[in-house]
Amino acid sequence: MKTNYFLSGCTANFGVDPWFSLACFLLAPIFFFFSFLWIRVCVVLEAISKSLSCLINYKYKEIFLTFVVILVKVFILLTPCDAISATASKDIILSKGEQTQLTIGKLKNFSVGNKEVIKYKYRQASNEILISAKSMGYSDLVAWKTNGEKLTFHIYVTSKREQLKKMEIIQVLKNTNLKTEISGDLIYVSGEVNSEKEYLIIKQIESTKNPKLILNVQLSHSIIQKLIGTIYKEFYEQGFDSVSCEYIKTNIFCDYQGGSDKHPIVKKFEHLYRVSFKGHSVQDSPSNLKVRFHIVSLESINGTNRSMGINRIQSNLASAIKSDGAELETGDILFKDSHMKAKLLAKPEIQTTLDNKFQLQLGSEVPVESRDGEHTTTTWKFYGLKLSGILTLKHNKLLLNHSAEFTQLRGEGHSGPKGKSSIYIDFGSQAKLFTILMEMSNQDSASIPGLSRIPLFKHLFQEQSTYFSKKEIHVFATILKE
Amino acid sequence: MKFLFSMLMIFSTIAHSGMIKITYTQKNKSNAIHILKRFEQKYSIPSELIILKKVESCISRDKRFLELCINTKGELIELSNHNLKSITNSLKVFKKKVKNEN
Repeated sequence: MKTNYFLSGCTANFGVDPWFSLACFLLAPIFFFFSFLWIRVCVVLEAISKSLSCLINYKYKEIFLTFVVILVKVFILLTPCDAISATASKDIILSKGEQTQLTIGKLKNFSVGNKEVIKYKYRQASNEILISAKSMGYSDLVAWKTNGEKLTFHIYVTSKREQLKKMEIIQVLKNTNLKTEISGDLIYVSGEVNSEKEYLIIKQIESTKNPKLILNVQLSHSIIQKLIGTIYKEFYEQGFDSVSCEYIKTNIFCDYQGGSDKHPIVKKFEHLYRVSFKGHSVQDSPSNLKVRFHIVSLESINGTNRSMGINRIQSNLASAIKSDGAELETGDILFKDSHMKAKLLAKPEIQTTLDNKFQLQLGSEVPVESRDGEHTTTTWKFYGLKLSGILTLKHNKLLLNHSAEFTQLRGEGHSGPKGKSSIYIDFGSQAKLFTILMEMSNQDSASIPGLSRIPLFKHLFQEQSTYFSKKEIHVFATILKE
Repeated sequence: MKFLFSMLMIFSTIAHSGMIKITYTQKNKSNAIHILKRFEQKYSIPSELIILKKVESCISRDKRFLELCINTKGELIELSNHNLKSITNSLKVFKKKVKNEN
C-alpha cells in the first residue's frame, strides 16, 4: 500500500529545515505589509474612480461606498498634510563651478533630479549636502528629514558673469525697503521708493538695462515732493522763467523755459537724478501772435444758374484757402459732386498774445424797437458772427479755446447757433474751427394783373413757388508768428 | 572780500527762490500763515517752495512766481503774473494721487 506523505512531509520539512523557517519568519512582515498595501490601493483606487466617473454618475445614481469611505476620507486628510510638508521650497542660483552646502538637519533621504547639472556629496557627520554646479541648467533636490518634513530646493546653474550681475543687484537691493523676489532666473523688484538713497539705487540699477530684471517700483509722494521740489527751487534760483515736471513710475520728465540747453543745472539733474529735460527757448512761444481767419460760405447751387462757363473750377476748399486763391474771393469755386459754390466772406486778422483773450465781430448793430404800453424803446442788437477765444501753450503745442455765436434776423426775433470748442494748432498750419449750417426758404409769387383778383379763378392765373437753399459757413484759422 | 561777495550773491538768490510768494501787510500774518498751510495741506506743495514775507505794499516783485498778497484791508490779492497757468500746471505734480481702490 502506497501512502501519500506529501502534506505531512512538507510540514515535516518546515520543522526540519531551519533555513527555510528562518526565511519564512523574516519575510512574513514584508509579505503582509505589501499584501495589505495592495488591498488598500485597489480598494481606494476603485472607490475614487467610481465616485469620479462621469459614466456612472451621469444620471445621478447613488453610489454606495461601504467601509471604504473611511479609507478615502483618511487619504483626503493625509494628502494636504503631505502638500504642506512639500511647500518648503527654496531657490538656489549658482554659477558654473560654484559650490554651496545645504544644512538640512537630521536627514532621512534625498534625491537629485538632474545629475548632469549638479554634483553632490552627503556628509553624514554634519548632516550636510555639498552641491557643486556642474553645467548650466536646472535641477531640483528633494530631501526628507527624519521628522517627516520634506524640503525642495530648485537649483539654477547660470553663467558666471550673469550670476555675478544678479548677485550684485540683489546685494544692492538688500539695502532698500523694496521687495525682491527671485523667480527662476528673473529678479522681480516691487514696492515704493521712499528715500533719495533708494531712488538713486533704482536709477542705477535701471541704467544697467538687465533683461532679467523686472522693476515694478513707484515713487512715493514724499520723494516726489523732495526731488521735484529741489529741481523747481534750484531752477528758479538760477533765473529760469519756468520749469514743470511730471513723473511716470520712477522716471521724471521736466520742461523748462528761459535757459540754455547746456546750463550746468540741467546737466546736474540729468546726472544726479537721471531726469529727462526738454528745453524751450523764448522764441518757441513768441509773445506776439497773428491769428488769420478765413470765413468761407458754401452755398447750394440747386435752382440757380449753373452755366458758369470757363470760370467753373473743381477744387478742394482747404487747398484753395491754403493757396490763398483769388477764386475764393470771386466766388467761382465749385465743388465736385456737391453742387456747392464757395465764396470768401471775410479774411480778418487779429494780433494777440498767449493767455490773453481776443474777440472778433463781423456784422453790424441794428436798432430794435420794442413797445411797452405807450413807451417805445430802442435797443441795439448785434447781427453777424462773434468770435472770441484764448491761445495757450499746452504740451508744447498751441491750444485755441474758442467760442462762436452767429445771429441773424428771423421774422421779428433774432436767433442763431453758438458753441464752444478747443483745438490744437501748429504754427503756420491751418485748422478748421467750426461750420454753421443754414437752410433758408424764399417764397415767390407771380400773377397776371387783374385776372389774379377774380375769385376762384385767380388760382389759374397766379404762380407761387418756394425756393430752398442751403448755406454753410466754414471758419478756418491760421496762427502765424509776427 | 571775494568770499563776502559770493556769500551775498548766494543769499540774495536764495531769498528770491520759491514758486509761491505770500506777502502780507501790517497785522495779517495769521491769515497769511493760514493760506500757506492751505497750500501745504490741500495741494501738498513743499514748504521750501512757499515764501512768507511782510511787505509795505502789495506790489509784484517777480512775475515768474505766483504772488499773493493780503492788503491793508485784509483782502487777498493775486498780483499780476504772465506765467500763472504754467505755474499752476507745474504745481499739480505735488497733489496726492488718489489710489483707485477697485
